[in-house]
Amino acid sequence: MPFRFLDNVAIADVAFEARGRTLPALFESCARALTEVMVDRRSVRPRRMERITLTSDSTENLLYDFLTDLIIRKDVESILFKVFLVSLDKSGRKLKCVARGELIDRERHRLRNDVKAVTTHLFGIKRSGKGFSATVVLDI
Amino acid sequence: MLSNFAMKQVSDVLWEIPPSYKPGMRVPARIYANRELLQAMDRIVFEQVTNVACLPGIIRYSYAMADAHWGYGFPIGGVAAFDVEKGVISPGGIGFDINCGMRLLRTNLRLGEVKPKVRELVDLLFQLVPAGVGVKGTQRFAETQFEEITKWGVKWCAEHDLAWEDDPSHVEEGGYIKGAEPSKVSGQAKSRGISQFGTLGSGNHYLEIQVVDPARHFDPVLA
Repeated sequence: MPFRFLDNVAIADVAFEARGRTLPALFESCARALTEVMVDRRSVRPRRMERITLTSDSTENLLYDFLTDLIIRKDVESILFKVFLVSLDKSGRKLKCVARGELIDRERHRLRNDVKAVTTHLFGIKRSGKGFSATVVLDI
Repeated sequence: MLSNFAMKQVSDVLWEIPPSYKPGMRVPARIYANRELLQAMDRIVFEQVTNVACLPGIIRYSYAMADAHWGYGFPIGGVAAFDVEKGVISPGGIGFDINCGMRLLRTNLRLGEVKPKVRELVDLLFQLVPAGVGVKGTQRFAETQFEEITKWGVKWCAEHDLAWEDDPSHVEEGGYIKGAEPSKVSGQAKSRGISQFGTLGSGNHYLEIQVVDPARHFDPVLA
């Protein structure tokens, strides 16, 4: 499982730890975990595609900005994504993502918690085994 | 829980951690809780409430309320006041819910009228009040209206037939914040918020039906 929720962290909010063999895989795991907090991803269809391009001053900030971007799209466009395909440039500071999902359907989607923001509390990426891990606390 | 040495009992529901507990503490920390609640609190609450006591300009005490638990720097349930000139401003002390507030709407209904129909009432409220992930209000507003609405609040609603004419006089500060400057709000925040006007929002927001016992009014004159 590319991510797990951390029950003993941030009691009033939701925390997860995600993993990936590569940084792009880690970003995809984090995006899936974020989505899973908001909706049962199995109930989302990949009917609409959006391209996301972001640049930041560090890989960690890029991850923060990427997850924040998904939250903003949820609020502004009412869209939730099921599938993410992420690539990073060599510096790890520029991201391209193809995300597939659909507009929120309150009748069909098994909605869970609304996420207001990504916090910087305990936020970080580290090398882990043969890959990478990230800890993220979400404000719900 | 801290040792008896570190924490002084002020009353049955008030405990104090002196500044000597941690280098840098400028004021004592005070926790409002009975013994049972205190013993059940996360240990991190005591670290966070004493960390807050180290912040520049803090006045009198760093407080933690009875529901205090692990937060982001401040404990959630933490309260602190800071000197206007010398103190810090801490969005972390509030979390992301800056200006999250509450409204009390009084009806003329009596318990005897409502109680038999509570379930139907709740079901109807659930149908009529937009709430939850991706929810939008029943009214649509242009982003160009955002600044007017956020600046004038309940007053704007009354002028646009979305509130009773005398509602502003029953709301704290007339239902708007004097000196509010919505031009300082980012375009992104406006885009996120505009569709949520007229909704309950989501997350930890809620709508409750309550009954008031006049014998238990905290402030009968105000009530």
